[in-house]
Amino acid sequence: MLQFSIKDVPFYHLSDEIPFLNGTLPSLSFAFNGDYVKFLFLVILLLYAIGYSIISGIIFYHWNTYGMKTSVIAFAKLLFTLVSLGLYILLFSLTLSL
Amino acid sequence: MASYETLHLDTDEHVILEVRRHWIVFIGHIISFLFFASIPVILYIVAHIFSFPFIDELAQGPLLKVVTIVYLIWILSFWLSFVVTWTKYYLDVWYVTEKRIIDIEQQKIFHREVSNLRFDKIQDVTVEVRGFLATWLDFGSIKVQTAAEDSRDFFMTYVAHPEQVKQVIFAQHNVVGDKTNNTTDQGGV
Repeated sequence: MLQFSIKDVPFYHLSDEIPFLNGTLPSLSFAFNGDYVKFLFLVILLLYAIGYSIISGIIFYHWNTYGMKTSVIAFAKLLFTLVSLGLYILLFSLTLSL
Repeated sequence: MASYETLHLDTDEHVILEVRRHWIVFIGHIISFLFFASIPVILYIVAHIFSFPFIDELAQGPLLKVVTIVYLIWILSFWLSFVVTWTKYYLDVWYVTEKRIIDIEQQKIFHREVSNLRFDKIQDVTVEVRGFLATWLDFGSIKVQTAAEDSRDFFMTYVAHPEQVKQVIFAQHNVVGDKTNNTTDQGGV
């Protein structure tokens, strides 16, 4: 579980030095609650994954239709799938560990 | 084994040559991909060198995971854009068959133009290799001019091995020309 505190926010300490802020940032602490951050990132990631899948589908359609089934296209498919999967596994595991 | 079903070739027609741009045109895309992918790392190093106050909190605190996630999304976006660019590069091609040249222009991912030019319509093929790099790596522009008024010329820049392409086109042009002459002679007798 990610333990966020308002003190983790970059430049937070600057609010100590700015007189009118009096060492407080206005009502931002809820945004850095661990569960909220995790949920927010999962939603963003899910939306991003949907967009990514649509564009990937278009690319695969072009490869399958106009790629003439060459070995280069087969290699491109393999590389694209492996790299994308690897990065997504990393992304989701990092997000879930928040 | 490649399959050319989508080209709708005749039964006695085969692809002799595929003409694409030289890989050098892709170097620029690779450099820009690597540059944009490394921007966050460069910014982090710069911030570290100039000892920005938040950098220690960022490197050790829980924010590191969040920053890594954002960075991975950044990398994924550029990876996807790189693949789209490569797809446009790879699908922009000339297919030279025994009968014609098929020019496929993949201008954008949803903008594709396919033109055919039969060898009996070809008037001239011009190759231009300009500069040290082009000579050294053997790439240049190639222009196929047509005799017909209603069809446009075929033009491609940064073609790999343009002289070889020209030779193949000329050889095939001669074969088609000989066949046409033989048919005319036999018809005349």
